[in-house]
Amino acid sequence: MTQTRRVFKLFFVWQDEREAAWLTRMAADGWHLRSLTIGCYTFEGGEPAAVAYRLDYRRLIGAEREEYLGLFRDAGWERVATLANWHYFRKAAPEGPLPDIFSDTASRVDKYRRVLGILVAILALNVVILATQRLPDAVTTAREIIRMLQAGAVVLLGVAVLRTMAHISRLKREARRD
Amino acid sequence: MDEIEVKALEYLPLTESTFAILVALAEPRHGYGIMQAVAQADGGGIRLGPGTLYGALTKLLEGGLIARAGDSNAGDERRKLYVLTPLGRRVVRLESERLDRMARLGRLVITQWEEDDDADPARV
Repeated sequence: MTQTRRVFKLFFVWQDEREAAWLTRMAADGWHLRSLTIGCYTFEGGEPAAVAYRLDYRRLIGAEREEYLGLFRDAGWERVATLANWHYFRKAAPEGPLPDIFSDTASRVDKYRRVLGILVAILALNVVILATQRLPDAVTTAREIIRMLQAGAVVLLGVAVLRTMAHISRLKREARRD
Repeated sequence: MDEIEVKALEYLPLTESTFAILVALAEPRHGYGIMQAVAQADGGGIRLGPGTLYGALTKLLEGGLIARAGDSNAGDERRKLYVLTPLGRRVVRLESERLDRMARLGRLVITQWEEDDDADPARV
């Protein structure tokens, strides 16, 4: 029977490269990603291997999915999992530098622009809800807690928007230096 | 300037990948066929990642620079084919002309430097 191991770990949306690097290190230790849900990774024990992991963010509708995954398959990338429109790909990389699913800065930046689009949409929705909510005359503890959670979500989303924007400018800066 | 040229000019300048993809689609190809074509020395010598290619294809289809051209049934897998549209052809033509002008500009000063070097070999 193959050994499995569960690891709980959280990464923010602007940290997908760090997440991929971690999955590569796990594979080097013989732990290969099998499935994941939010914050919980299931690994399968096996031979240590040099494996490149890469994440893409894309909403796919209907037939797009097959076309998209087919392209990655043709290029030798295996789709391991999909979670909230994040697609996890991997490819064995026995020698040399790790391959990437993106080959230029423009397309790398486009990925974070797609992430940014959805973050801004959710943030705007939350702000509207928070701002238009009418407080009842009698403020109950439960209401207070919900409002605080909403405010927390707005702050977190705001940070995510700023960090994603910072990541985009860093990518562009690095490209100019190359 | 006709309408199609105005529209085509909006896409300039192209990234190197996008330009190579458009040139490869002078004839109908599927995604993998594009990757192979642009990887060859006379196709640009570009290693195209699938994420980059998919993003480019989506944008080019939306803009009407390329169109779907049915399916290819070679082997056991069915793959979608793409091909340049008249607008896509115009974009390739205009971008090639633009790059030509830029290259000529560069060669002009390079020739000048070489002549200067011939006159004064001590200068680099």
